[in-house]
Amino acid sequence: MPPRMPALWLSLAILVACDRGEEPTPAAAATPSADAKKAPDEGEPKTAAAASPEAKVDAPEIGTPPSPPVEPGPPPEVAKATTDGDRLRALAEDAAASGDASKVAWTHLEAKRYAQAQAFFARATVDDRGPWKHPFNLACASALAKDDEMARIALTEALHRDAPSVIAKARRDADLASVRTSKWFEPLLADAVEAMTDSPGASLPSPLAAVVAVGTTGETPTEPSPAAGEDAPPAGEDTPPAGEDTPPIAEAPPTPAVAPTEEDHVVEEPPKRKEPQGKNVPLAKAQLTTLRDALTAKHGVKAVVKSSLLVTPTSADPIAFAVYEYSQFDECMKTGTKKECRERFRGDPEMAQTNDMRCTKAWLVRAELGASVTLGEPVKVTVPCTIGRVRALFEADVDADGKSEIVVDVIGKRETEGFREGAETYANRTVRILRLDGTSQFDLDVGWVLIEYAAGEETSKRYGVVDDDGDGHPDLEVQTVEFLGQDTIEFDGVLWPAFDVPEIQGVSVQVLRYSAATDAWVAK
Amino acid sequence: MTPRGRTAVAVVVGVVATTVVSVAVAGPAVALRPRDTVAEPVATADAIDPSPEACARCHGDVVDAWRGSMHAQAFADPIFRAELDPAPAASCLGCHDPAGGRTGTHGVDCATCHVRDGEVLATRVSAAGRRVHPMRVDPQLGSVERCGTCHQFDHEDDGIHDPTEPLQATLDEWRGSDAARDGLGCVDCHMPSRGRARGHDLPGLGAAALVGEAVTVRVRPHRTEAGLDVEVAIAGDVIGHAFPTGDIFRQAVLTVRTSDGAEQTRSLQRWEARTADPDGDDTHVRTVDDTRVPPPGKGYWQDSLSFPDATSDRVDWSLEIRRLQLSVADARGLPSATVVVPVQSGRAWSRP
Repeated sequence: MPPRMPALWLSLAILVACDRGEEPTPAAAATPSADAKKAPDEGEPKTAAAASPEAKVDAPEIGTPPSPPVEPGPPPEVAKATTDGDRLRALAEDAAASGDASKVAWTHLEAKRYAQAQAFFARATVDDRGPWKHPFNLACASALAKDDEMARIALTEALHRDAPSVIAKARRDADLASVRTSKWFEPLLADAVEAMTDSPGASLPSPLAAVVAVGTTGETPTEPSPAAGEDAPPAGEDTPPAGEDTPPIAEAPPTPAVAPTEEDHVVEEPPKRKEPQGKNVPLAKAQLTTLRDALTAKHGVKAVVKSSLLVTPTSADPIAFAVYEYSQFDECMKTGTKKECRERFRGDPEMAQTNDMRCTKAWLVRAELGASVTLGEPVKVTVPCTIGRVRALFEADVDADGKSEIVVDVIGKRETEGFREGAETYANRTVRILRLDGTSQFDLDVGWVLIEYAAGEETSKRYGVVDDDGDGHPDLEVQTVEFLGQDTIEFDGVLWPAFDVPEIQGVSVQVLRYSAATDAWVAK
Repeated sequence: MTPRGRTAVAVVVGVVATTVVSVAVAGPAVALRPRDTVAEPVATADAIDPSPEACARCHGDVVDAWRGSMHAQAFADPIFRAELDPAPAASCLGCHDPAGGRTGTHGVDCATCHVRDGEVLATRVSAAGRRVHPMRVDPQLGSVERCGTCHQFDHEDDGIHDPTEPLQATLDEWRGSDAARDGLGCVDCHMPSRGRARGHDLPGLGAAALVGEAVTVRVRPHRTEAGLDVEVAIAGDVIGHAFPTGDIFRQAVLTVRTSDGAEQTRSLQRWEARTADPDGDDTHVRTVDDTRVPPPGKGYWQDSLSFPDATSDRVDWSLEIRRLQLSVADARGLPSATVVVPVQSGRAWSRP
C-alpha cells in the first residue's frame, strides 16, 4: 500500500489546544464572547440577560447561576485537604456553570483575562472527563497567568487522559513556554512516557481520581458523590451533575450551530485507535522454577524468565507463555575461555559500539506444564542488545471471535559504556498476537530506529485496535511513519515520534480486517 | 620487604608513637610549650570556620600542597565534569564535592577529613591548636577504612549493574597484598611524611614518578619460523592495589609495535558482561574477568603476542593508563591528552 497522508490526523493535530484551533465557532462567537470583548474591564462574562437578542437565542446561558441543587444533602466532612484535585475543583468553582465552559474560557483567553479563562477551563476539565484538550488548555491558561502550580496540575490531568498527544504538544506549545523551564516539567513528561512504556494503556494517575477526605473519622479517601455538588460523574454516565441544568459535554466535539468551515478547524475525530488490553496471570513460583529449569536445560545456559503468562485452562495441562533471555557471554563460556569470549563480543575496546558483552538472546516460548514441561519451539525476539521492557504478555480476545489470543509486546534496549543514567537506548519493538496453539496471527517488528535519522532510511510503526469500518467488529490499524528529513528526534514510549506526526509526514495507514474463516488478519 | 617498605613502616610506627604520646599529654592540666605567636582563632563558641582560607592561617604550606592535589580537583576535574554535568547525580557529589561550596570551595577540602561535630580531627593534638579551635584525636584519620569510604563502594541499584558488586574496590585489592601484610596503608604512598606532617598533595595518577614505579614491565621477543612472538608480563612494584585501580572504566593499555610497523595492544581492565543472577531471577551487568595487574603478593599479568609477518627482531612498547576510553573521551569532547597518563615505554630485541 503506498503511503498516504492521513488528512484526519493532520486536522486533528490542528484542533489541538492552545492554538486558535479551539476558538469558538461562529455560533459561539455570537455568544457572550462578543459581548465580553466589548467590555474588557469586566472580570466576568456578561450574563445571558445582558447579551444581544441573537446571542440569547443561540448561546449557552453563560453566567446564569445554576439551578439550586436538588437535595444537596449534608456538606461533606472535609475538605480542607489541598490535594491537586481539590485545587482543580476549587478553581472550577470559580466559574459559573454553563453549557460549554470551554467556549467561555476561550473568550476570556482571547481577551487575555487569564484568571477567568483558567476558571472556565477548570470547569470544563472537571465536568468533562474525556478529552485531554480541556486540561491542556487549562495548563496553557495557567502558564499565561503565571500560575505554575495549576499548570502542573492541569498538565498532569491532560497527560492522564492522552499522554501521546499531550507530550508532543506540551513540548512545543508557545503558551507553555513559561513552565517548560520549571523543575517539574520534564520529570512529569518523563513519568508519562515511563507509564506508557511500561504497559499498554497505562497512564499517569489523574489528580481528579480521588479526594482525600480529611474528616474527623479518618475515613478512606473517597470520590465525592455528585449530590454533594462537588463534581460531575465521569463521562459516559447518564446522571447529570446536581446543580447544573445541562448534561456534561460528551467526548465527541460539540456540534456547532453553523456548519464548520476549514478555518474553524473543527473536524470529525477519527476512530480512536487503542492498543489491546487484557489480563496477565503470571506463573506461580513453583511453575516458574520448573519452566526456567526446562529452558536452562534446553539451551545449556541459565535462562531468566522476564515475563510469564498462565493461560486460562482449556485442557488438563496448563499452558504457559514466557518471554525469556540468557546471557550470550554465559552461552559462549560453555565452550570458550574468558579471553575468547571477551574477544568475540567485545572486539576492540575502543569501539564501544562493538561491545556485545552486555547482550542477551531473547526468546518467546509456549509451554505445556504437565507432569513434565513440554516446550514448544522458541521464537527469537529481536532486540538491539537485551530486553528493555516486556510491555505486554497477556490474554485477550483481540479479534472478538470468542477465543483468547496472546498479546506479546517487547521493547529492546542497548546500553552505552557508562554507568550513569540515560545510558540506555530503547529500540526494536516486537509485537506478536498469537493463537493459543502458539501460531502467529499478527506480527509487528519495529526495527532499530535511529535517533538521528536519515531521509528514507528509517521507519517506525505502531498499531492499535479500531473499528475502522464501523461494523462493530475490531480491525487492526498499523501506522508506519517514514522519516523524510534528517534530524534528531525524540520518541515516545512505544518508539513513535514524540511530536505531532504530520510534521514529519509520510504516515501510511494499513487496516487489517479479521477473517473468521481463517482466524487471521487480512489486509483490507 | 623492599627498603622503601621498611622505611614506610618505620614512619608509620613513628607517627603512631607520636600520636599515642600526644594523646597521653593532651589536656588542659598539662602545660605545653606555647607558640611564639598566637594565631587568630578560627572557631567561635558555636562553630569552626572550615574554609581552606581559615586553615591556611596556620597551615599555609599544607593548604598550598592540597590545592594542587586531586582531592582539591575532585569536583573541577574535567573528566568528572564531563560525566556529571549532563546528568548531575547526588551519589557522585557525596565523594566528589562533599564541601559543596559550604566552605567556600568545592571538592574534597580540609573539613571533609578534619572537621566533625564542631571539632578538628587530627592524629595528634597540640595546645596551640586547641587555642584556635576545639580538637580531638581521631585514630581513624588516614586509616585505610577512612579512605575506603570513597574508594571502595558498590554499584548503585540502577537496574543495570549488580548492586552487590563493587564499582570501586581499592581496599579489596589492597587486602591480601604485600603492602597490607607489611602494614602499609594508603597514606604511606599517597600522603608520605614531610617532616612533622604528612604531605597533602596526595600524589596519584597525576604524579609521574609514583605512576612510573608502580609496575615493572617485561617484554621478550622471540624469533620463530613464523615470525615474532612477544612474551609480555607486568608485575606490581611499588603499589598496594591493582593497576589501574579506581573507576571501572579505567584501563591500562600496553602497545607493542614491531619496527616494521605491526602493532598490537592489550587492555588491562575489569571486563563486564550481562549474566544471569545466581538466583536466576534476572540478569545484571557484572565483572566477568579482571586483567589488571594485581598488587605484589597477589600475582602478575602476562600474555603472548604473535606477529606472524614480522621481519624485524625489535619491538617498541609503551604502557599508559586511560582514565576513559579514548572513544568515550572523544564523545565527551575531551582531548585524548586529558585522559591518557603515560606510565613507561621501552624497546626490546629478540635474542638467539
